[in-house]
Amino acid sequence: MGTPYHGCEGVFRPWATGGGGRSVRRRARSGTQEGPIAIDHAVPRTADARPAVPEPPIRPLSRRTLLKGIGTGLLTVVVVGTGVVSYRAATGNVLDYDGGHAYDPWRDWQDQPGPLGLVAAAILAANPHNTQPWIFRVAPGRIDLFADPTRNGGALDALGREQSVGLGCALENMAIAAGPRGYDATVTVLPDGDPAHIATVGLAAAPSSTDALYAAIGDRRSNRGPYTGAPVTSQELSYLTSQTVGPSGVGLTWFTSAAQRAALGALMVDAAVAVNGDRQQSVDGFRWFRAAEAEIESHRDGLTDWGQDLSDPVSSAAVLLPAGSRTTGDRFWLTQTRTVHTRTAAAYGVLTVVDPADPRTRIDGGRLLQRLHLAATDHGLAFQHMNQITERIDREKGQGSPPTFAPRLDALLDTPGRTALASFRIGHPVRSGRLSPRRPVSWVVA
Amino acid sequence: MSAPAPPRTAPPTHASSPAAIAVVRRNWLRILVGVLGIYQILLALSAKPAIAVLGTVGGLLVIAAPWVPHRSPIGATVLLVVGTVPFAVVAWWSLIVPVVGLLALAIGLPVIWRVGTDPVAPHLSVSP
Repeated sequence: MGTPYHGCEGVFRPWATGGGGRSVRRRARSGTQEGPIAIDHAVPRTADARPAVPEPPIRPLSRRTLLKGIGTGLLTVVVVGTGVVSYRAATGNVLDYDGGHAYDPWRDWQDQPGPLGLVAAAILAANPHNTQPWIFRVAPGRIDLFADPTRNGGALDALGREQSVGLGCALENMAIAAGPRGYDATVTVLPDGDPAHIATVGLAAAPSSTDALYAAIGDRRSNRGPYTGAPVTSQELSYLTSQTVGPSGVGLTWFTSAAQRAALGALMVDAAVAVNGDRQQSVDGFRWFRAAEAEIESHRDGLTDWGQDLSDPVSSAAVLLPAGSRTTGDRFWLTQTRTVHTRTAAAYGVLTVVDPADPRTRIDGGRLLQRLHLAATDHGLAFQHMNQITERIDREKGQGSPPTFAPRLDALLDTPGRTALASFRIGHPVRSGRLSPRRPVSWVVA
Repeated sequence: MSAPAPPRTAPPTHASSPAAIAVVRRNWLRILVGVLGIYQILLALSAKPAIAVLGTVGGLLVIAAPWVPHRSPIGATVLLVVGTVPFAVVAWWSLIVPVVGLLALAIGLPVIWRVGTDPVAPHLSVSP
């Protein structure tokens, strides 16, 4: 029989070295005797039994022992709580937010062979709320691009403007990728009158060419973080403006002075307030927010905590904390719009068109928007699409409400006969923009 | 009426449980440190490869540190510090990694340096 010892941290009881004490206690636990105190003295002696050793007295609980027990208990609770947070951090990929398959298309987009390589470039395009509203059909010598009617912004994109612009962005990525991948591309927009059939890209083999914008496809981000106070130089603006040579009918107006930026920024904040105040717009926007890692991996679309381009510790905290509600998200977006997006913009750009309802104009505008974004990326500039004003304009138009934002924006633009199609801010980034989840090529090719 | 005779011996499982419980109670803080080491490994496995290696090795050191025999507390301390600090520094922005490291140090160092608290139970000790 071994030496019994009791309690934690070495409370060693040498008086209990005999066998009687333990056997008596064991009998007491077995319930074969009644009354634990009486048992000690009522156990019949057997011939081989050693003399009974009296049970040591139960020592009263000292204050030190009590405090030690409470401390150990608290530590245990803290460790268990830390385990819960650690599990959340591990499953939320806090230490490697873009390590999941949802971000693979950014890593392997140049590995896809043949025409699928163009699709791989197209799916990395800018698009509204990361809805990725596209379907591709790949046939020998051609790729057809279709709109996916199920992937839309609802009341946030009441007239389908943003979806068409996003499809134009995808089309431009295909057109840019064709040359470097050894194709001569012929783009036909809206080829057959079907509004969902956005474009046909005819492909013929050609010598491979180089294009700085092609290299920028995989580096492009929508950077929602703060920008430094450094102004965008006139050379940088000229380079960006030179991208407007391609698609026809789309103009570009810059807001660079402090007064211009303040006026447009204030209108953007007002529009954000109005979007939050419109329950349906708020709900339809929140529908595309993916809070949990499992959601991100299963949908591979939408907006994420990481995509808000907050600092790393704040992003980590956002992932570790329980997911916020729709209204919390609305408040966060409004605060960011007020304190970061509009306050740190070095310049705004607004694409202007004669008729923003014209599908072809929207697609052409989207193509130009993508070129601008890639050119900004190529020059190390941060770029964020900010379309809450046009979202309110279309919402008011769709509801038949008196226009409140269109006249204010037109007054700021001062481009008679032309109105805004899309708007964005640019600047020098404080930190790099983060990746957004993407559906892989295999999910979007019909 | 006399009471029935008590059993002379208890089943072996009953005989070993008090000792096992006593060992667990005696080493509860060491076990907590080990659990924190496991958390660290869990976190490391979700990180990018280089950080994952650092965190996993560190987690193993954290698990081992409190069980080093008491005659070498400095060695155990080195294991604990090397196991926690580099990973916490590299992944400070994650918030949870430094918290795990600080907890491991806060619990582990007193355990390592407390006099007369070798992890092995007295009846299992082997004296030279």
